[in-house]
Amino acid sequence: MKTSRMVVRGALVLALAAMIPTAFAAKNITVKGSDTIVVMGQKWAEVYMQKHPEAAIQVTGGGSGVGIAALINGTTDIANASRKIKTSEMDKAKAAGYYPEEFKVAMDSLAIVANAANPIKELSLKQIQGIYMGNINNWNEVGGPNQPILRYCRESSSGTYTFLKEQVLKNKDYAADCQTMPGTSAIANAVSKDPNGIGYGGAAYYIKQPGVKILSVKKDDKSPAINPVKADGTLDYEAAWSGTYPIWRYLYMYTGFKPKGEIKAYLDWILSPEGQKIVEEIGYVPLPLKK
Amino acid sequence: MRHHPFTKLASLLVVCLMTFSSAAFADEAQLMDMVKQMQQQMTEMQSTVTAQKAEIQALKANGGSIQKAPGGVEATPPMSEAEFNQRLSDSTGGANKWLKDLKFSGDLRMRYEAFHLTGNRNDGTTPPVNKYQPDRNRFRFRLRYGFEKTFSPEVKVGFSMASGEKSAAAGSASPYSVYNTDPISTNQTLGQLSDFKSIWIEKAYATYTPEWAKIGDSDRLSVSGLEITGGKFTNPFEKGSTDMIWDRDLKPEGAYEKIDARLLKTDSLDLKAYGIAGQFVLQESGNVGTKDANLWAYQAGLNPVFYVSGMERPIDALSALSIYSYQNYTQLNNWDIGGSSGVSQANGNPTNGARLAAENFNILSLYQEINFYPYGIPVKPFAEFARNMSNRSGTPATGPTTNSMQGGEDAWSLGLTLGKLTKKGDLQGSYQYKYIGANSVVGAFNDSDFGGYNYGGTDKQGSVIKLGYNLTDYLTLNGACYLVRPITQRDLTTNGMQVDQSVRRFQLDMTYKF
Repeated sequence: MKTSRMVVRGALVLALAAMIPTAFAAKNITVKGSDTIVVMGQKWAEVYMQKHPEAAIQVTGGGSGVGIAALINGTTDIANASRKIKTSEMDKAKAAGYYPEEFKVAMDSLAIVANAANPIKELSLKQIQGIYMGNINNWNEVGGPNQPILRYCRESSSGTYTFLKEQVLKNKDYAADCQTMPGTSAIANAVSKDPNGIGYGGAAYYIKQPGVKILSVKKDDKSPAINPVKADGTLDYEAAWSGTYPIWRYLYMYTGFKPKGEIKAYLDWILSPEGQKIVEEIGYVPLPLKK
Repeated sequence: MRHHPFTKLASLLVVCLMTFSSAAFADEAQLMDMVKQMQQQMTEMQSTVTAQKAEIQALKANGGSIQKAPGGVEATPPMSEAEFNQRLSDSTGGANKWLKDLKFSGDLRMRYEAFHLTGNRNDGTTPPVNKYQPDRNRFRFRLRYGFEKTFSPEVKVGFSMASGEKSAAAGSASPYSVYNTDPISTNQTLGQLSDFKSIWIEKAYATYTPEWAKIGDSDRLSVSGLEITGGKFTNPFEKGSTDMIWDRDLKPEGAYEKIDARLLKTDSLDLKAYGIAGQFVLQESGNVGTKDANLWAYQAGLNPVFYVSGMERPIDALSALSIYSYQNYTQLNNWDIGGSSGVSQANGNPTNGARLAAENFNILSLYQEINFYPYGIPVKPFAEFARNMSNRSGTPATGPTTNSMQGGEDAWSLGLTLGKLTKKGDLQGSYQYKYIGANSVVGAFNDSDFGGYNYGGTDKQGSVIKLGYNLTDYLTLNGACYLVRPITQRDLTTNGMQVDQSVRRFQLDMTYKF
């Protein structure tokens, strides 16, 4: 009687011991921030958790500012950002006892697109600035047909909107008649139907979009026109890495301080060839290989 | 999470089982029954999940059969930015244009304050007799409210108002009785038969942070920013000093320039530096023969942030060297608000007629703080030493018993802060000891709470103990205790402590930030 009781107890303890590692050893990592990165972030998390069942990673969007604010409040382990952390955010973080560490995790080439029927093949940064600020209003001012230019842009809350404003418009305001569209797909749809339309967005998205062409961009009048997509229809990583294609940005992840343990392992994996392969799959530009 | 649902469930059940094992294992038969019941429940749940899975797959396969509501309303195409702005402008009367990038902020502090003073009374009795000042209790508030408008990433302007008392010292005959004569307090005492209280301009400034001044790669030797500010503004010299020199309510007037640089960045060290130059206006007088008083101030700081093994967060140190060179401040009643018939701001600096006893104020200050986080708790020890380099040939002070006040050129402070008040539930405690020689720093501008109920200033030493707790992210409860006694035994000075007068001051604050 006594022996059988011991056997039952022993079996239960063994069963418990077998279950505990999976049930309680999980390390929860929360990732919050940029909507630009959220799909890629979720894919990273999904693949990483498949390979590391002990890890539990939760990824949500909300915007770069929201992610960084959460980092400062201590409510997320990692903040995704499609822009660099601001000096004021750094000061706030420091006041709260955080020392954000920056990780460049991918690159993003922004494409300028026009209707496929538009004979224009290239624009300079100055011309793009002129078009989006409302100083250039007819395609014939940039070598095209005598037709008015219809400008399509993203909502002002979008990181892509801010990126173009900062990098190309030099922080000047968009033209008041810009048609605000709720996403890159909406811009693609509008430009494909509008022979006089111009739009922008992540380059990878437009590669296979019917009725839309990706324009080459010149840094200035003397520079060669560079297209973010190669002739074989794939993203031109070299153009982004070398900066010859001028409209690109880094995508970032921030931790509260120097990462350790599971968070470090996750970030190391994202920066590894395996993690960067996912960057390519999602349609962004992977980081250049370290020589 | 990628765990099978039953893994979690089973784990939970086993944990429950373990928790109650003493009761559960009382009888083997009972135990076996329980295990069987668990098995049965798990089987039932497995069946339910399988059925639900099949149902979902069927629904997916027949996706086309889901009926849409007839006569659905077509989505309205998104309005253009121009149309949206026009509608917004129409509905706000055009206010949206100037409201853009306008940030409002402020705080309201309610304070209960109690004093217990011992020593000779400052009533002009000569020689002073042993009288004790009466204990005092008072309720005060501080209201600050303002906005900052960002015109571009390079330019912003700000404006704020704050409460503060009208002059109490000058009497009704003086024109200064209707003015604020305290540059280091925005408190308003409750009383005066509930009359309406004053509000003043606390800050009015413009700041320029040029993009062209950012030079170099941010990860290497680089200039990360230049800031030029003019007007009446938050004191930039607070960063590398304690309130032994600068009361946190003081808002200097004039201009300052600040430059930030990164000297080195490696995996384990981030070394930054900064420099500030300030040109502050103290007194501007149109009278012939009266010299304007100004302050030329300089501060250079070094801020290494480095990681050490075994600590999750880095060590963050700040070393600062400051020079405060006052021009004509000690002369011709430039230390009064309102000149010779105005209100003295000597606050412990010995006087001699129309001038202060110190020959001048050329103050050299060294400040050091270290922030580190053992077990995640913020700890900050800090220290400051200051010397008035121009005090040695000063003028003797006057008074009923004339003391030579050529000494007292040194001031120092040591302190420790534990915790930080940033969000709900945060706790912070601090201890600070201050020794402030009579001629060491300018009494008009240092901590006004370090003393009795109408002065702070110099020629004092003692302890300050503070404790704070964040009731919410925006509401803080603070308590403070000041135990202050005089350094010298001098007599009758304007707003100075008398003979052996000691102060015990207690404050209880509730502060709401918005």
